Amino acid sequence: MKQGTLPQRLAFAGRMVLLVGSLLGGCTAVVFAWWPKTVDTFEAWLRERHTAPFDEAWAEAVAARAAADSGRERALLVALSERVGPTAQLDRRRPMAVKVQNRLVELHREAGDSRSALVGLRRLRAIDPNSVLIARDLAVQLFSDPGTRAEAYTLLLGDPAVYGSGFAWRLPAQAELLSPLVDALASDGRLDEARKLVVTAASWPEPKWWSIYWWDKEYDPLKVAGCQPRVRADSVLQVDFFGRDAIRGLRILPPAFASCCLSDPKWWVREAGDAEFQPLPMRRGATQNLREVGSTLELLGNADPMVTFELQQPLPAGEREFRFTADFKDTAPEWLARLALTKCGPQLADGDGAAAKTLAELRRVGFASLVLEAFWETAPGGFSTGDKVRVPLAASLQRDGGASFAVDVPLPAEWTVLRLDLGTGEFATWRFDCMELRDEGGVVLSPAPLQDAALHDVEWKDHELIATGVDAQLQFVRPAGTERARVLHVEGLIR
Amino acid sequence: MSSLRNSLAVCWHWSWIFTLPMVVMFVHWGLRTGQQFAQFGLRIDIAPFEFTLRETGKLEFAHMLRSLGLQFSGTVPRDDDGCTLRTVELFLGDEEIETLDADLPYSGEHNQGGRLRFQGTDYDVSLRYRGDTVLHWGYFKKSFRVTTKKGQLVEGMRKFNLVVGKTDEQLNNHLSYRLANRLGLITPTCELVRVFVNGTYHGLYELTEQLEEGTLRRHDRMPGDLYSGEMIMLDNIEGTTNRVFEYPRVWSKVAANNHYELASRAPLERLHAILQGNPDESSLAALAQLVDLDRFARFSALEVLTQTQHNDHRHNWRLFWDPWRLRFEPVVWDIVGWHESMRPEGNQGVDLEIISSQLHEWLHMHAEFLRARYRHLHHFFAGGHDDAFLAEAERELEQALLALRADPNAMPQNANRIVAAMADFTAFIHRAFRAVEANYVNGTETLRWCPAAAGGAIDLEVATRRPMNAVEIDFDGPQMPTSVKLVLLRDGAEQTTDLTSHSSLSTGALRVPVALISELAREFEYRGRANSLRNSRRRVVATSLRLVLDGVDVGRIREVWALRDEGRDPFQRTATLSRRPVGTLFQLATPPNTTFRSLAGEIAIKGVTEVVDPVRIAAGTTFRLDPGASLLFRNRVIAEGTKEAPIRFEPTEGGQAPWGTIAINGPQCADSVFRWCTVRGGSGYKVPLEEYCSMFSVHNCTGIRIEDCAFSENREYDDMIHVMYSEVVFDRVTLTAARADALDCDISTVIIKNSSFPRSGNDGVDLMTTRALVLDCTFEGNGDKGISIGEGSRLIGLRNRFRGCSKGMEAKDGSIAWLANCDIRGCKKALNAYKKNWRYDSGGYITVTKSFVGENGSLPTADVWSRAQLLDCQVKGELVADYDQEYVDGSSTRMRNTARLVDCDGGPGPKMRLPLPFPLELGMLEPLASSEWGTVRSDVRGGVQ
Repeated sequence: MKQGTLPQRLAFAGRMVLLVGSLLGGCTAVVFAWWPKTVDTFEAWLRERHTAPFDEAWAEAVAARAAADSGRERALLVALSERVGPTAQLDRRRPMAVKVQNRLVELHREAGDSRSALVGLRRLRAIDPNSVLIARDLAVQLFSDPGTRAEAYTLLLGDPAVYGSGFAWRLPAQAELLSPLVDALASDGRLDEARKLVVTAASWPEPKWWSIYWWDKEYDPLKVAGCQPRVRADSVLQVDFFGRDAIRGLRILPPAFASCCLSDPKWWVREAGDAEFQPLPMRRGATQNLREVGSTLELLGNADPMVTFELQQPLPAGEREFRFTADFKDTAPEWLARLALTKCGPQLADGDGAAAKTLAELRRVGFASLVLEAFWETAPGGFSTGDKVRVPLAASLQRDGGASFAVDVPLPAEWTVLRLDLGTGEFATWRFDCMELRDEGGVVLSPAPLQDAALHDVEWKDHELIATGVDAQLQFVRPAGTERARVLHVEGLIR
Repeated sequence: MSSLRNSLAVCWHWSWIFTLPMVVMFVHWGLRTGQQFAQFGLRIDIAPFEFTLRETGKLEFAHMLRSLGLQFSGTVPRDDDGCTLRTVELFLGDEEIETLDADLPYSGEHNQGGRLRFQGTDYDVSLRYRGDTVLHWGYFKKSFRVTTKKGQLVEGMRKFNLVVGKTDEQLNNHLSYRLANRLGLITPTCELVRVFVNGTYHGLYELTEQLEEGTLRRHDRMPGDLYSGEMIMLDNIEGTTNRVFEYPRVWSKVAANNHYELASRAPLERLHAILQGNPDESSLAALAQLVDLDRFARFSALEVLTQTQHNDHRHNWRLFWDPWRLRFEPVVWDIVGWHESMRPEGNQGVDLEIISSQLHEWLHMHAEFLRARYRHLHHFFAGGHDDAFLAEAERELEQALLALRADPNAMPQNANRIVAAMADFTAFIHRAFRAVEANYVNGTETLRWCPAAAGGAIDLEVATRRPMNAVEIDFDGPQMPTSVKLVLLRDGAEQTTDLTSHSSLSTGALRVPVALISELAREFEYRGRANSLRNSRRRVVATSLRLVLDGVDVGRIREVWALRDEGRDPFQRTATLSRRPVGTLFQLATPPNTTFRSLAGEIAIKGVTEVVDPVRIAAGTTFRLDPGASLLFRNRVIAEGTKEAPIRFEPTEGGQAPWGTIAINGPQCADSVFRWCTVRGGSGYKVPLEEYCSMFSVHNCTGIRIEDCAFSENREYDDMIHVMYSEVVFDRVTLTAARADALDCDISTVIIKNSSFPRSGNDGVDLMTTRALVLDCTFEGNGDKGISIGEGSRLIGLRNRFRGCSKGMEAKDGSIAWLANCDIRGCKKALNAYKKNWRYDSGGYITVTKSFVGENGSLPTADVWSRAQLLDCQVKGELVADYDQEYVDGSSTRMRNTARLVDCDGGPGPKMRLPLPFPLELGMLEPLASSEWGTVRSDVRGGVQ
């Protein structure tokens, strides 16, 4: 290159820059047109770069958690939270922000730092103001401090000046919101408001929309249709539909948040040309979020209940009519019955008004549905989930608001330690008038060593046991001379 | 060699001519692609859409080339390019645009000040981006929400949207709205427009009205709650099922009835309670009491014709609760008809029923809904509306293509793709129409009958989508049935409906008026789409019914016919029929109750009494109503008192608190009569689902006659009589000393004759969007107007006398009145016309002719938006040049008086004596008033005593 004047050198440099720019542009065009995978790879790299630092920081925090180093975990999460920054509803980092904040709240709670937990929950709510679960957690936290209790009421009940502005007003039968709210109102002496909320929730119609899945080879989330079954005059729930697809399995998603009993569920089929429906042989498969008691399916008001049926003989593709039937019984929502059993329950049910009567009825249902679970050890090494028996308490409500019960808990021959899970949550006072080990003929062998029992989430007070936590248990060692004991007979009263 | 070298040197020297634009383009492309990908590919989650780097780059490149191509070719919209779409011009400052674009989509939600030019008029407006999905704010063309200042309307709208085409075919919503209009549904105004931003052509848009109170008014609905059901995307609530019909309090209000709390959701809660109940005869009957089945049937017809499932469990519901009809009505919104994702795969047939929500499921169990939908579809095809719509669609697509030709921002950028998509779109509309027509109108059907094994009965089997009006049975000799019953099997039991009193026998044929239709059974089948709503369809199943004909020899039956509007079709005789139980079809036979209940004597009314049967009230009957008690008639009322023995509605005790209302409400009340009745001491009635703002209420019924009746002493609520959505004749009626308005009529047709309205606290007659003929009436001492008409009302008044009212008459807001042979005297102001409501483009128009106008405080006044004129009248006094127009809020504005006198003077003799032609501007009143107009005397000025 010849040495030129400065303008010439600048012009040359300019032309070179333009040429290089053009070549770069051309190459980019060529890559976009002919090497799309290269662009995709570049995009993947960009995406990875966009999220990797956060994922790595999260992984580090998880590792710290695994190492039980909560201080480091918290420090990492706080730093990560700051890096993620405030996120709006459509931000891709939002799930990470939610994850980090949720864990931080847990850590703050474990450390007893309720102020920081509250800050975290407020951040979570700012990220998703429409989340029921976040609103619940925030409300519970706010209720726990007298200084923030009013804010919790505003969150759930709304601004008193703006009718209908609260979250619990918009979702009047949402267990997650109602439970802490009713509890708080009752403990603040606002019994009428609490009663009103419970009565509204109890009378609020539950969802009725079912989804039915079917598949041939394996479960296919796209093979689904919705419907509303009807309950016949003879209290049998029935769904009919025509189908053509080959079917190996069927899955029912009954309505979420609904409560009822479906006894003896059956599938029927009518092939084209047949006059009558014939039973369709099935095996009950996996279930989710519902209770199976013998041949009865109990919907407990949970989200996403599900039951699967596997055909013993797959049906080939072809025209046929299906029918699902089950004996139907409407039941009170279990969460509401349990709510009526909480420590504010007797107060709410006390009175002559219609609301108090509804509460009393809910308490009756709640008591009647209580279950005593007995776990046993046959050898040292802890309890196993298989070694247990569930006995419905069927406690019946007494005039004084308590509920009496008398049950026999069957026991195996070989047990060394027995654990009773009272399963009533943090509300109840138990009075055991009688707890005896008996043989098969009902002969009393020994009283159960109640006074020596180890206690968990429960404590003695005036010869009664008061549940202090959600997992009330008592356990005792088999007394000597009770080798023939096959039954634990328990009588008493719950209040 | 040296020439090559020289050539290279020259190329090198001039290379910048090529490389400079290349680099500029590359840098521009790189920046745009980087920005777009960073925002929508990396930062924002735009699911279910996706911005990939490759597609973003290609799209930006295509856009750059297209823009340059249009620039260089000079392709811009011109007046002579054949495109007749109207133009919308938006003006926004650079700063405002930057603010809107700063952090999409969030930044686009905040209004910015701007200007709008439309049809030669400039408006100050607020502008923002709108829309849930990236299609509205992620590409070159953004959807706008335009809001005018209060008091300024753009073609009657205060808020409207400029919406980008969301699909390759562009016009799904626009054509869906056009079709919805043809089906008589409440639909937002929508038209295709060309939009310029700051003078630069931005492209083709759909101008779509934002739903609000004005939408309802334009469709002749009284303002009420317009609910919006959305539980998707930003409205999704984690922890719920997100099905809108399961959460009534989650719905928002687009327009609100201010008579109730803003948060009130009582109608939705009632709907929710029904839908979460058990489908049976009573719950389906309750549903029909809450939703307007006919309107939902039209809506369903629209869904079937457009094959849309966009109104689903989770979104797009707009329901209007009409507080006066007490029914929900669907409002069409964002149905995206014939969308590619909702078309059937390959050779699969189109869906003949659309079941995309719980409400759909329920409606398809209601026989009357199915009948009504058939009627609308049949009318659509038989009336040639399908061809008319297809022709309209073709024109609109043609115009869209013309507008897209110069559109630099069209999506997709490839014009051929748009053309191909439009061709597929059109073909699918044709296909859908033909399939629906073939199945509904011309579909094959099975109608069979056989003598029932039980004897004295016949079994019918009906497999058809076409309902019938009646079943006719021909006998080969005289037969005299003693009873006629329809029996169907449900759940192992027989369900019987007695049709004896509704059946008729003539010339050897028995006609049983039962509108049979077939049950639609569910059919679940995977249809190869990610859209699982497609998996649920309905199929016609043979529906078995038995007609029990006591006293008839079924062996003498010659033929059984299905009677329809379009003719009659035979049932085929067969040897046997199996009886299939009916499962999910209800309200199949619900004969109207035509048996009158008699009421006479002294009747005490305590609390709220609903009367669902037709009633005949004897002369001399006295209803004594307790404080707050109301009497709600849901069926026909014949109340015929006499001069000597009138029927009285009065308080139980003198001096008690007022009772509530006497109301007749609903189409079944048609042809009710109140004659020689006296009504006094009432007020009104209001509960969460129902409201009556008067002592005597006539809602939603036709053919009502009120004659020789006297009304007085109403209290608390506004009106003495309120007429809504009705047709009523008042003759020789006196409404004395009403608390506020004596007779208030909204969206109705009324004839008022020989009646008097003395001493009303407010208006004698108040009309809103009403057609009225007022003859030979007296308005005396009314605290406000003798007659007040507003909001598009039309009135002819003949031989009326206005005495001592605050104003003789007033017209407002697009209303037109003609008075002839009237006498207006002793009023503070004779007439006034003005623009009261900013939602209307004009004020009121009053013409008074051949009348006497004198001895009033002032002569007519009218503002600049109005017209008040006296033609050939005897007038005493002078028009004022300026006057103070008073408004409802107590304020007033000095106005120039535009009222005028034509051929008027102080004498009684008219200048013209020729007969007066019917006023052209009141053409819509001609059927109602033309004969009475013929009685106008042109040879006098003033009332004919």
